This record gives sequence, structure tokens and C-alpha cells, in this order.
Amino acid sequence: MPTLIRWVDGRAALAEDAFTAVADETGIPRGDVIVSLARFQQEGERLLGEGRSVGVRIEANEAVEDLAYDLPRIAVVALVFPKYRQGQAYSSAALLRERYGYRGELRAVGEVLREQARFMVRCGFDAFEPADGSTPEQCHAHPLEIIRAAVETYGDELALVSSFGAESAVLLHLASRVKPDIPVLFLDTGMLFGQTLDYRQQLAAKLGLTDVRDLRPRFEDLAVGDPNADLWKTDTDACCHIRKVIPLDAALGGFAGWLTGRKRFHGGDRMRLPVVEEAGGKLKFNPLANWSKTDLDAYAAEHDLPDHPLVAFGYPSIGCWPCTSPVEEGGDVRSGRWAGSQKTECGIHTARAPGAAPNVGGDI
Amino acid sequence: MYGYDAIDKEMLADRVAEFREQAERRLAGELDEDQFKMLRLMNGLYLQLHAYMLRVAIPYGSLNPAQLRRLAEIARTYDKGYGHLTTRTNIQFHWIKLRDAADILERLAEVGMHAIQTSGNCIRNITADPYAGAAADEIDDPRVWAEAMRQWSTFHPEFSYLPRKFKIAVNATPSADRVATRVHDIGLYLERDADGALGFKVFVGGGLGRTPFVGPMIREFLPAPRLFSYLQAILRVYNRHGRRDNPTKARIKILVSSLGAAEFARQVEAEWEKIGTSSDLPDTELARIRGAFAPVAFESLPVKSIAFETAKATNPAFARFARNNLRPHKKTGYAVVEVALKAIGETPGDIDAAQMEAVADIAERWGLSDIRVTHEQNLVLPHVKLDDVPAVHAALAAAGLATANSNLITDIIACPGLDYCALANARAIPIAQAIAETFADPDRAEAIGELKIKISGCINACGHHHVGHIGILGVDKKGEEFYQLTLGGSGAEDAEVGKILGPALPAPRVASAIDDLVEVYLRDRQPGERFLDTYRRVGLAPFKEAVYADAH
Repeated sequence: MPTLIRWVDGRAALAEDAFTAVADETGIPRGDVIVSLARFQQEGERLLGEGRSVGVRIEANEAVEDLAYDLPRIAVVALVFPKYRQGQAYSSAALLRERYGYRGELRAVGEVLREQARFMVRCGFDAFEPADGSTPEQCHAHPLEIIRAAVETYGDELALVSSFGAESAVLLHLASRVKPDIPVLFLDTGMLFGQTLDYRQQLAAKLGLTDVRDLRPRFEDLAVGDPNADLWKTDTDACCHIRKVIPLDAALGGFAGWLTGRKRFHGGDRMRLPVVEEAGGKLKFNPLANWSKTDLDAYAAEHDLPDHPLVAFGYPSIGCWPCTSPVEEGGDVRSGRWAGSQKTECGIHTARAPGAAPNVGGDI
Repeated sequence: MYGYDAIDKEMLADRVAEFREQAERRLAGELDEDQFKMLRLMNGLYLQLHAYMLRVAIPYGSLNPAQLRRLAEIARTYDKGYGHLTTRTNIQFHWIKLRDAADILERLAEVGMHAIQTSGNCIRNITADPYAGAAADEIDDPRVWAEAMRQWSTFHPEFSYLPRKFKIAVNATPSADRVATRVHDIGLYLERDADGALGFKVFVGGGLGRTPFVGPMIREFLPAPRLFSYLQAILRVYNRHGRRDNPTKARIKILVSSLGAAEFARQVEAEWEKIGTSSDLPDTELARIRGAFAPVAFESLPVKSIAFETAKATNPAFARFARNNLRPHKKTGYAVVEVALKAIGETPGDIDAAQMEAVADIAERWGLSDIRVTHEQNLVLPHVKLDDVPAVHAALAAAGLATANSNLITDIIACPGLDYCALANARAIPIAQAIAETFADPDRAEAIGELKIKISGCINACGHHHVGHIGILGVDKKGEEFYQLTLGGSGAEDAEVGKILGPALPAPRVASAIDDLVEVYLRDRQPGERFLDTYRRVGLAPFKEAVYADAH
């Protein structure tokens, strides 16, 4: 049986195919089936009456109009590409989605190749039987496409939040290619390494980012909560709250969405990181979610991006100086953050209300 | 001129990176030629007789000096020092090494150029009047519409795998058709209706190749804001119903002729009605594009230029150039300058690196940095002050580019033919050279007047022979190159497909046969008649008699 790749909430994933594609000359097996248009026109009523899901296969030279009346009852429309270059099915897909409002699965079958997938998605296909052994990973959107989509949707109401830390350069560079004047929110907690502050200046200039905003803790919060600048010794969460969460929440007030540089390979809770999620009524885009450390390194090398000065000293993830330590080679990237405690996130990426942040857009 | 935005630039960079990886896989033997073919063709890279050929898109034939200099650099670094301009207003490099292809694409991307959709069954480079922004009776600037269509058609999800390639042209003036509009899959004439509203007259199903057609009109007046929904309707009808069983019957012209223009138009209109306005271009987007083609700030100049008149009176070579290669400009004191790439004995449409740089310099200094490519394989400097024409002429002459034969018998269109092309049956370039040498005397060429000769090395008709006043088609007769002559074709506003004169001639007979045809014209013409007009009046017989008399 061919592999099935399905686009669910914008994410390509391998899927179980519950449907059996039935040739005209074979008998109908049990379960969900995909039959030809001619057979559906003869036997469709009976098949649907048997309580199963029914899909219809439409050949390149057949007209989707012939199926229009039945569409609400059809679970899958499989459009055939006899050869990759025979493109009638692109028009069929566009018609099904735009004109007939079809909301079921639209599946590309036949000579379906990776190079055509991007055209197919844009015409409304959401499932593929690849003929070239493509994997879902190869169908993932490039971070640039995600950033572009976010910029297109939110324009000036989109910000990027960056720590100017060990891996920040890649996202900043990607964003600078799409929108150099994107507001970049930088949390200057007052506890950062001097090297980080230098790096922030140097990188912003190199990438031509014209709107980097330094967010500092409010004086009154520091005066009340951390007058001696030693709160980190007793309550790291409270310290993060004053120095990161409050300033960021205030700054994000004017934005509808934000970009973050979080990646799945960071491990821990980030293993299930979606590309788009909702947090505090705003959309949060994680364009690098799918990228591996190798992808990041390759990108940084290709674009000659400077490392954070502390990376050479064994810091793979860099926050405030009191709570960041180097990691032994081979250790988890973020294990040097709040080392020795249970804490793994500073609070800006944790859900403010009980329960997990809902994954609204999934992966792109 | 239109400048690419960040998204366009990014798209190009991604595309180059992707192709670099594919070329490396091919060089490493991980892909075989069959698998690689589809990928390289997406990037305009063809495999020809002797080497790879890279076809670079020049959208609506518009270039700036930086781009032309970059093309020169590519010709010098990666090719044999020259490029070949095509009838689609693109440029081809014929001696490319696969290992250089990605580097070339990267160098092109830096100046906003690429080879996307210069091959494959998609919407190809859109051509527009080369005098855009300069022609006096222009209805609207056709570049605005060509650029909008370029953006619409690039990576179009529904129309990137059509039955066959698809070519669109926009003409801007009612008095002259300089883009062979009516032999395109879709030809658009900019028009204004009785109320002054902008729109298009729409022709569909023109084409050359094996089965030539002048495209019938399917809509008298399409309001300009509805262009994109209408294009979508045409392309959708074609994508769904065009033939795919036989590549020679797959162009839209075959669908239109088999259905009949009226029935095809009915289907388009029905589809168009269902599409509605949702796919039309928003006014704001059109305004953004239009902004890039804002009218040039011309100077106010007197009608007569002393420098120009003096040069004409004192320099006969300049006077000849002024007679033949200048066209009126909408602004007093300016002229449109045709730079003919048709020096006698050279390959039509070829231009070497030094010449490209010379034209770039001239355009920068005297031509408002604007350069156009014509489908007749020449260049145009659309905005030159009459005062500067003598200096431009001198600089062109120094670069070997002042051939004063625009529109004359030696201004020949020729495809690369069997010298380069794997599809050709016969050579085209040596035939063009032989004819040009026969008519090398410029006085005689001028006395003959406008005469368009177009040569194709095979039935695919890249040299547009069907619409030459005299067309020449290379055919293969038992391994020998023969040439079939057609008369009376035109790709201009009086478009017509030429008629076959008689049996094909061997190569050495072609130039003298042309001479025979010209003698009939000179003998029978009435005052003011072009070759084409005389032919239309007297018919084929006297011409046929002259060429085949010996055979009786």
C-alpha cells in the first residue's frame, strides 16, 4: 500500500490510510473504500447506505462537476495525476475547494512528486500518495515561508522576541531577510553577561535590524521585589517574573503575534513544540521548530553568522549570568540553565493559565 | 523600472540553492539525465548539440545597465564571450558547463534576473511593446500589465503544468503592433472604450510552429480591472480541456480551432462568470506596480536640435542611421533609437560582452538607463535626446553596433538552427548571413525599404518564419538541408500567415531566390508600397514565376 502523507493543521505527517482503493473490476471489500467516479455513480447509494466512508477517484479527464451534488457525503476525493506533468487535477482541486466548498480530504494520487507538492497545497490538496518516496520532513515548510506567512498576516503587529543568545543569530537573520524593520524585543534583565550586550549591538548592526527594543525591568518592581539584586538566590521564578515576564508582557501588548526561536531539539517539554500556537490571546510562531542543530549550524555557516562569544567557552544556551553555566560536551543544550533545579523555562514561554498552551495552527 | 522586493529576492536565493544541490547530485552521478532533465528545465537549462544552453528571462524585454553588464560578465566568464537574444526577448548562452550553472544563476539573482519559467509547460516570459513609455500614441504603459502578469504567473499553482507552453503578449498602441501579439496564445491590445475606460481586446489561440494561426478575437473589450479573472478563465478552460495526448496538438490554438472561436469564447465567459471578481488584482497592488513605471522626468526641448541637424547634414553615415534607426518619441526633442544586432555577415541577435558593456554605458550616459530587447532580436534605447543622438551613434559605431538597417531586408530574424539546436533540421544562421551579404549595399537595401525576412531551422518556428514578409523554413530532405519559402506573412497589426511559394530550395539557391523576389517587387511596386503591399496586390504568381522559371 502506498504511503500517505496528510496535511493536518498545516503540518505534513505520515497517516494511516483507512481507505482501500478499489479497481473497477474487483469486488468491494469491507471498510472504507475509494472507487471510480463511474462506479460511484452506479453503486454509491448502496455503499453509503452500508455505513462506511466512501471516497471517489477522479481521473484527469473527468469533470469534478459530475460529483458536485454528492460532495457533502464524500469523505475523500482522490484526483489522479497520470504523469506529473498532466496538471488537470490542479484545476479540479481549485474548483472543488473554491467553487463547490468541498471540505473533505483532497488526495493527490498517481505520479505525485515532492517538487509539485507546493503547488498542490496551494490548490487545496491536503493528502498525498507520493510516488517518489518523499517523507513528511521533506515536505515541511522552510522557516522563511513561516516567517513570510506570519509577516503577511500580521504586518506591523508582529514582533520577534530574541535573547541574542547562543542560537539567536539564525532566526534574527531569517527575519531580517523578510522584514528588516521588524520590532525585535530584547530582554535586558540587568543580569546579562557583558558579552551578550556586545553581541546584541554587533548582530543588530550586521543584520541591518532597525528596530531592536531593549526591554528593562520596571524600577518599582525591582525596588519592591529585588532591592539587593539577589532574588535569584532564593526564588528564581520570582526573579524571572520581574526581569522577564512582566517587561515582555507589557511590550507585547501592542502586538498580535510574535516569533520565537524555540526548537524541538532543545528537548524536554519542547519536544512537542508546534510551529504555531496560541498564548495569552496572541499567536506565537516557532519557525525553527522543525530544524535540527545541524540545520542551524549549516545555515549559520552558509550566511557567515557570528557566534555568541560565550559559545566558544562551552555555553550552548545563554541567559542571565547567575543562572547559566557551561554544559559538558554532549549534554542537553539547555541543561546549563538553572542547573541543579527543576526549573527549565523562565516563564515567558509557559502558559499563564492552568493547562498547556493550545496548539492552534499546528505545524506548517 | 520595477525592482524586486525582499520576497522576490528570497525566492530567487532559495531557487538557486535548490538548483545548486540538484546540479551537484547530477555531477556526482546520483541523478541520471532523465531524472535531472525535469529539474534543470525548471531553471531554463537545456542540453543542446554541443553543450548546455541557459535561457535567461528578460521580463517584457526590459533591462537596466547593471543587468546588461552582468550578462556581459557571464558571457565572458562562463560562455564564449557572447549571448544570443531570442524572439521571446530572452537571452541564451549556448556554451554553458553544468558545473557553472548554479554560479551563473546566483550571479543573475544578484541583479534581479533568473531563468525561471523560460522552459516547461508553463506561462513563459510575457512580452510587451519595446517602445513602452516612449511611444506617442500609447494607450497605457504595457509594462505595468506585463509585470502584474509576471507576478501572477510565476509559480502559479494551478497553471504550472499546462498541456503545453503558454505565451502572452501585450500591445500598447492602436497604430503599430511591435510584439507579434496575434500569434500568441493570448494576445492583448490595450484599448479605451467610448467612456475612456481602460481595457483590453483579447485574442486567443494564435501561434506559429507546425500549425500556424492568427489568433481570433474572443472579447472586444475586457475592462482592465477584470484582467486576472479573465486570464484565469481562459487558462482554466485550456488546462482542463486542452489535448495532452500529442505534444504537437497541445497548444491552446488547437483547442480554439477545434472548438471554434465562438464556442471557446462561450466556455471562457461561462467560467469567468462563475469565478467572479475574487481573483482580480486589487487596485492597491496595481497602483504599487504602476508606481515603478512612473513617467520619466523628461526635459522640455525644442523641436529641432541643432546638433542633430548638423550631424545629419555633414555625416552621411549618421544621416543613414537617422533615416532608418530612429523612431518618433512622445516627447519633443527625444527619439527612440533602434540598435540593430544585424551587422552584415554576423549572426542575427548575437551580441558580445564588449558590446553589451558599450550599450550599458551609452544607456547610462545618454539613455536614462533604460534598455529594451525586441522580438526582432534587436535592442532599443527608448529615451535619447535628439541632441545626444550623434554621440550615441558614434559610441555605437565604435562598438560595431551602428548598423543602419532597422526594418530593412538585412534586419533578419533567425533562430540558432542546426549550428546549436538539437531540434533543428537545417542551419539558419549561414542563410541569414548569405542573404545579408547579397544585400550588403546599404543604398540598395534602403531603396527596397521595409522587408522582414524571418528564418527558422525547423517547423517549431522559433524564427517566426510564418509571419515574415518572406519566411524561410529549413527542412531536411534525405539528409540535405533545403529551405521552403513563404510569402506575405506578417506578425504586426496586419497579421497574416505566409503562403508557401513552391518546392523547397537547396541552400545555395536561397539568397539568389530572395534576389529574384525583390526584383519582382521593384519592377511591380506602386509608389509607397512595401514588399508586403505589392505581394498582397499582385498575388503569389509573379513571384513564383521568377523563382521557379529556370525549373520549367
